[in-house]
Amino acid sequence: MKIAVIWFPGNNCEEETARAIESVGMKAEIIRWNDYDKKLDKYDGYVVPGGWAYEDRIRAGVIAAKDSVMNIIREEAKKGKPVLGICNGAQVLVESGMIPGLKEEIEIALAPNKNPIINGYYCTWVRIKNTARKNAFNMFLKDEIILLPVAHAEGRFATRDKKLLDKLKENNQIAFRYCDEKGDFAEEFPVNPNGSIHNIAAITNKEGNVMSIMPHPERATWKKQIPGFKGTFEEAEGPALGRKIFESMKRYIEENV
Amino acid sequence: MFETELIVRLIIPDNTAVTTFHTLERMGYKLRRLNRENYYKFYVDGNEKEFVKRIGKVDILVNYNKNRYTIKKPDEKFEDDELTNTRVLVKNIDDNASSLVSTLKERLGFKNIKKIERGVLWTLDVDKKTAKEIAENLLVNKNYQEYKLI
Repeated sequence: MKIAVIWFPGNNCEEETARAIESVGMKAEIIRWNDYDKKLDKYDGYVVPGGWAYEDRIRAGVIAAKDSVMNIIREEAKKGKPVLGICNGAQVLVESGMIPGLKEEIEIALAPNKNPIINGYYCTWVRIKNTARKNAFNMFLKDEIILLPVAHAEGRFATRDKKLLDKLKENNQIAFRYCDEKGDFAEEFPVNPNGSIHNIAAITNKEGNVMSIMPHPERATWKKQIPGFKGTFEEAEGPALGRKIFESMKRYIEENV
Repeated sequence: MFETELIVRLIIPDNTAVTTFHTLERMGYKLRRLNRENYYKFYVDGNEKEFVKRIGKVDILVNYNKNRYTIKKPDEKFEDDELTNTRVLVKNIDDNASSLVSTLKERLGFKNIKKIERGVLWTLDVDKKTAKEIAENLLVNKNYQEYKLI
């Protein structure tokens, strides 16, 4: 089972994303965006990792979204293969129109954060909870609250289409929402770190095989990554909840691809 | 109250403009030139001459090592050359530039600034119809940005 981690110039999370993929028994290959020799259609799934692809020129994710490699990934997604975009990767999928994927146009944005204490880049630990029906990325998650970090300046899901939020709810496309430690979705800072509508942290396409997620699950894959962890070295290598997103991807491929 | 526009351009290579030019080429648009400038519109009470003299010297807006600037009134025409056909001004909706206003007013002494609008001004050697396409296909995400053709 091979997963292509697409490495655009400026991405910087490809190594740890590959490690997270391999922690669940899939093989990760970091593929440069312009490596035209690689047969991308031979991979079972794709991850677009975090960072600053093309330095966020014009705006985050848009140049990478227009790259020819995304045409291949779009076609493979139509065949049902899973595509995960993390942080900058989420921005690339949004700017390519693959998320939410309801029309042939860009229906949503990952806009600059609205944050009462800081303009621009903001990093912190947040909690998210699964709110969608079963999709490629949440198969092992019921009501668990995942603690994981965000680190972004443009993480606010925003849309000018007043009906889009209702459509996303109706289609069960809102995969994860920011919540507090009790699992309540308080639509205010600091529970919502960036002003995202409806506390949305991740959105899938209608089919559930493509997901844009702003928090970083690869940074919450081992217990040793979680703040406040106290335990032995052996316990530190144990799984944290972020790993379940990658486990789900693997199970989805086993059953569907 | 008066309104003044400050347009700031790079005199060193503009990597963002170069990337945008090449991306448009790959998308099938034929341009000979594309320029990008930072755009500010100030709404100010007080002495216009004094403001215009000072604002271009604010180094958080104009770094003389890499920028040059033009100041004009909103109703004045831009300086065009034979390769300029259309300008696209892109702004973020809901951007009131509050931290810039605060810095200019409270730290740099521009106490008479009432409001600032800011954006990115793209200059393209294409007609308005093509510029609109380019804006909507690349330069603007209308879910949080707006644009106008000049």
